[in-house]
Amino acid sequence: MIRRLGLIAMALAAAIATARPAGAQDPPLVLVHGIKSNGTAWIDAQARFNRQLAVTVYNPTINDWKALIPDQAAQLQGKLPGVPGLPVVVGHSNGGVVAREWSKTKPMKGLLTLSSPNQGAPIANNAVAWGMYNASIVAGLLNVQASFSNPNEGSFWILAVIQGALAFAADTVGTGVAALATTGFDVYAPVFSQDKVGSSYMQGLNSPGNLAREAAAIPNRVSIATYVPDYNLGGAFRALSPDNVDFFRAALWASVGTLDVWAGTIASSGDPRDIERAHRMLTASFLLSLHEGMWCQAVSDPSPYAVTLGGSCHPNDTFIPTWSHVLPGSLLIPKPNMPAHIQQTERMIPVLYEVLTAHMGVAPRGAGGGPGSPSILPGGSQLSPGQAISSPDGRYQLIFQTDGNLVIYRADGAPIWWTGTHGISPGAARMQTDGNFVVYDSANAPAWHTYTYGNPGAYLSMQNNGAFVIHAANGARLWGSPVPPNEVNPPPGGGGGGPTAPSPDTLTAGARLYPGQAVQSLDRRFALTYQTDGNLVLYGPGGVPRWSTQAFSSPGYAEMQVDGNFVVYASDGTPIWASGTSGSRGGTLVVHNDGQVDITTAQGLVVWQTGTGGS
Amino acid sequence: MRARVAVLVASLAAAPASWPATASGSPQLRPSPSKDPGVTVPDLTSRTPGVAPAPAWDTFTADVTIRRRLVRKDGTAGPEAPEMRYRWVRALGDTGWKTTMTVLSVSPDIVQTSKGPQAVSRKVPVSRIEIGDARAPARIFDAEGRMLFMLPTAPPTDPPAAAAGAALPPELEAVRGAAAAFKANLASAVAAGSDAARPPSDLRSREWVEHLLPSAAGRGARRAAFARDMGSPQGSVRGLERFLLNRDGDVTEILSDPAWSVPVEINVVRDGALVSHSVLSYDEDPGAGLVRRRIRSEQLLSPESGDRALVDFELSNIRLDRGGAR
Repeated sequence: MIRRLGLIAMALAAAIATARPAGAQDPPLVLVHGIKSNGTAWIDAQARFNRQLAVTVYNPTINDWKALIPDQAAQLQGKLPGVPGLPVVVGHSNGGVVAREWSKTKPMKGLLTLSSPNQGAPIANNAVAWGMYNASIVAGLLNVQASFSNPNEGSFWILAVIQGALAFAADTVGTGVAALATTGFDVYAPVFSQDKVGSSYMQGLNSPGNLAREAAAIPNRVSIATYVPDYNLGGAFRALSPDNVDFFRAALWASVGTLDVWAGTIASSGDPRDIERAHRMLTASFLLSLHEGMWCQAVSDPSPYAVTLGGSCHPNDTFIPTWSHVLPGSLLIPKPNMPAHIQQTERMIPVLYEVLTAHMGVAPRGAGGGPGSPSILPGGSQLSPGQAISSPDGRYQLIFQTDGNLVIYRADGAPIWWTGTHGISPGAARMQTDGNFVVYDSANAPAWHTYTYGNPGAYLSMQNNGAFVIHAANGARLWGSPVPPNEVNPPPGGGGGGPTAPSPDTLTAGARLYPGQAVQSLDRRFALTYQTDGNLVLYGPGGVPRWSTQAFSSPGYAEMQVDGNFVVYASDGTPIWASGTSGSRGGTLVVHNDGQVDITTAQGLVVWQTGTGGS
Repeated sequence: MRARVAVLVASLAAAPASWPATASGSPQLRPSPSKDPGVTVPDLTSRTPGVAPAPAWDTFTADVTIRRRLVRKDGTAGPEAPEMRYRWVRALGDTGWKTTMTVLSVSPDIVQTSKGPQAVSRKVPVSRIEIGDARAPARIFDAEGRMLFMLPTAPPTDPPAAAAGAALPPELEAVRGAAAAFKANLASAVAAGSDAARPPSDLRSREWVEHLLPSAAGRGARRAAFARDMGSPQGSVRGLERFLLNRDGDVTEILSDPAWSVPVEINVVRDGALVSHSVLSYDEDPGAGLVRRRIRSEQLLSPESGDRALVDFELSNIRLDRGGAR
């Protein structure tokens, strides 16, 4: 074993020597975010492109995203006074429009717009009308409640049985209006007057004269036009919370149906006033049933005031229509069935990588970390900033980034786990001889560790199932990162699993879930998901939530601690929720096939459970 | 009776003066000839005039078609909801009526594609809704028969808070506030009324079907119920008995056919303006009763917008069976 580790260490040293960190000599790549956003939208893309493309990535924040577009372009210039040469610029959403404006003063080698409102955003035209539609839902709900004003009347009890449907309808209104706030909609924000379809700004931007100027100033222009699958479905809720759309749709149509069925029932009572009540209920469910279609019209119909005047549903990415993603005169790359608008900067990185390398002349960096590179980090070795190891099959890579974050990437570039230590001045990620794996900053202060000290001879392996594991000298598993949901079991016969590789339904002592990560039952029907809103939710078949902590926060992580307590921490380290099982050292959390989640001590004693079993 | 209904329909053809005609013509009742053979009843259920049906049936089945659309203040057509078709079954069990609404069809959505307008499925994820005893929560099932969840347990969908730094127009803030206030008030109202509110005491009564399938024999009982709920008639309109109810600022006018004591028109006036107008139409049943076929209703959504919701609730394939629908 010792001899094998020695060989591995030599191979690792050779591989690390070939990795080349980003250099100032590389051509610039500028990432521009959209409305109500900042540079964090591109943080993952920045890390990956710095690592995998021969570029120096600039990721500025436009502080005043409400400003007129020329003012935003001036802010951009102010943030990037020293960008050398001709940059390639990537703009998401309104960032693409700002980049077009910037090109009036900044020559560019290339411009890539991703789902940008190049020809205007209909939601800017329709926002108030959308609000008025939601107001009509509220009016319909009030009409229903008013018809049940007297508790002594025979059918008052029905109000209780339709309460859930009515409350959901009210929530839908809140979501519908919040969707506007999420876009950054602000009646006083100058940018929205310019983003309207048909605005004088949009007319000037797409005038023949300006398009000719752009063609001359930017030799390589590419626009990616996207739409989501079933773009007519999901409404504002999908725009806000795309991953939970199935549950929302079920609740929406259940509410419509529930109001319909009770309307039919009370319409058959002997009291003629119940017929009036029934029709108020049918009207409320009618207005609710329009939600999906109205949102689609509001965000996608090319006529400026579709919601008021009547329109139709066009392909869109939940906020911006596909037809507006088209930058006139550019190479158009259609990308159907893509993530929703608010997910694109995180989830379309592989697409951007492909387009940048295939169509925009950006060269891959060619760093190490592919198949054949080391998968094991022995005790006493480290990863310096920019260095990586890979799983034996090359599908996963563990990299200590130059921003201080330690990240596992899938082969397609998707980040699947990270320590959240970005922002520190990076020192090294060390597999110490005492068995602890520690991320240090440049001042040698620890920023994160696996709590596995006291195990001399331990080593780290990056596994084929997407998790990295700290093994004791005898191969026993001491700690592991969560196995991603798509990796139910280690590939048959795959190496790197280790003698005690974790089951994917289990969080063992020391394991964490970071926002967006989940541990799921072996049959994949149940998933305990740590959401980006800080809530820890157990989802069952059909995406139906079965249990949750109801503890919302700026998310940090959820950890199955070595002391046996399962704790959810906010981003500032504050514990938000706990299972209260400390003292059961070495406990494991398991998501079972019947929907039960429990914590079992090392002695096999169940000390906590969600009570959701039996499905 | 059919002639009588036709007369009523004709008398109602003129729209209330306070509402303009819709783009497609009068919003009033325009019954189309029904090809529905009428009510199917088991042999044990008598429909002989003057003889109450034997209470042998225990399952009511009907197909419900609901069409809804918006009409603007100026009468132009607004958005239209998908046409929903349900199979409505009410089956009598030991503890009362169990209601099941199964989605038969939902009209497709029309979306714009690169190939032009295309009809696409709305992929409605709910297939069946079951309601057991009174006050039991509705159980929601998907197409594979899996229970998704139960209502009225409110789904955990608290809307996100406003984005920091985004100033919504006052009218939008007001909408959001009104929705939140409604939800809070609703919970209070339900809680406050929970002591007084009681489901029907006779949970196993078949009386309700008398209002969907009015029998000649039941006329007296229906008229007595009218008098109990609405008081004495306040004159007549177009040959219909006029009942008035004044409550909470709303004046509800119910016009009833005097020969059958069934409601044929319901109007609600608030602050002197018509806010709701419903018309009920009936077919003559070969068994010498009536069959309520349709309720067509217009509701004013708000005085400010003037928008109105048109709702058409139609029943067909009505059956009374014993031992469950076949």
